Amino acid sequence: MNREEISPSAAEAVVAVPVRASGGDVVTAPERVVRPVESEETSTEPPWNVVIFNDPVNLMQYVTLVIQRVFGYPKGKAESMMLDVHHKGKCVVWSGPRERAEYYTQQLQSHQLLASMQKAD
Amino acid sequence: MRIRMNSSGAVSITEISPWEMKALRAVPVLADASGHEGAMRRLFPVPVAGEDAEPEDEAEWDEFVRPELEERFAANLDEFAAGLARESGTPDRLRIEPGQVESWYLALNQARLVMSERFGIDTGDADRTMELVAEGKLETLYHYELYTELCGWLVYALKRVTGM
Repeated sequence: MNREEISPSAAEAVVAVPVRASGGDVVTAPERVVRPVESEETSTEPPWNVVIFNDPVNLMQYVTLVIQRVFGYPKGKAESMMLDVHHKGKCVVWSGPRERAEYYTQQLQSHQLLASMQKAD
Repeated sequence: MRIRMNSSGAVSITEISPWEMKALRAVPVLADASGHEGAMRRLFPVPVAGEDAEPEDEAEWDEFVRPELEERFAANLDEFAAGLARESGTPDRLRIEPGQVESWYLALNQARLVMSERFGIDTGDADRTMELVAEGKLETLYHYELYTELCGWLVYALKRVTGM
């Protein structure tokens, strides 16, 4: 079984993100963000897929941007997923434990993407 | 309407016509999905899709997650409305600061999502667009197209703001 597992502690990482100072200059400050991080833990629970479905409203560039921001994927991978959504009607953008899948689904829905979870085959 | 964006992602909109300003002021109303099942379902999709969905999945989602989504969407619209109100002394221009870009995008996008469901707008479907014209929905289409144009600019601004 080839499955990505996320542990809550490993899923958080401190990264430097650009923030804007009051004078308009860009400075870099550490911020705690949640990113998909691989863990060596295993689970007996069946994995869940996070799926983005196509819709006629959301702009393609915006979908790419949201995938990059939520999952931390590189632009090329996010674009490829967006194109799958656009051409095939949907794309599995992440698989893993249910609790983490719920978190990502909520993040995608808060960005107004048409996203849900499905049990992986 | 002229739109400019600086290197930090701030957006300046000038030469806004009275019609365009009227369309912008209509965003909070057009983004309101209440009373329309399809629009509500689009803003708040089911948590589990397909045959694996259990009734309790949706009940728990509605109890614990949906209120957060509703709160965020309402905050976007509040920030959008506040931004318009701030510029009321100069009704032909607006400035969207980098920290407001995402709220503005999401407010406009929410209006587009709700309008698409309510009126069946699909700009990729020329036949449907002609039907809407025949039904006298020109102003609705005009609003939708204006919001789409602005969203296109705001995506670029958002990329600059987030560094992506």
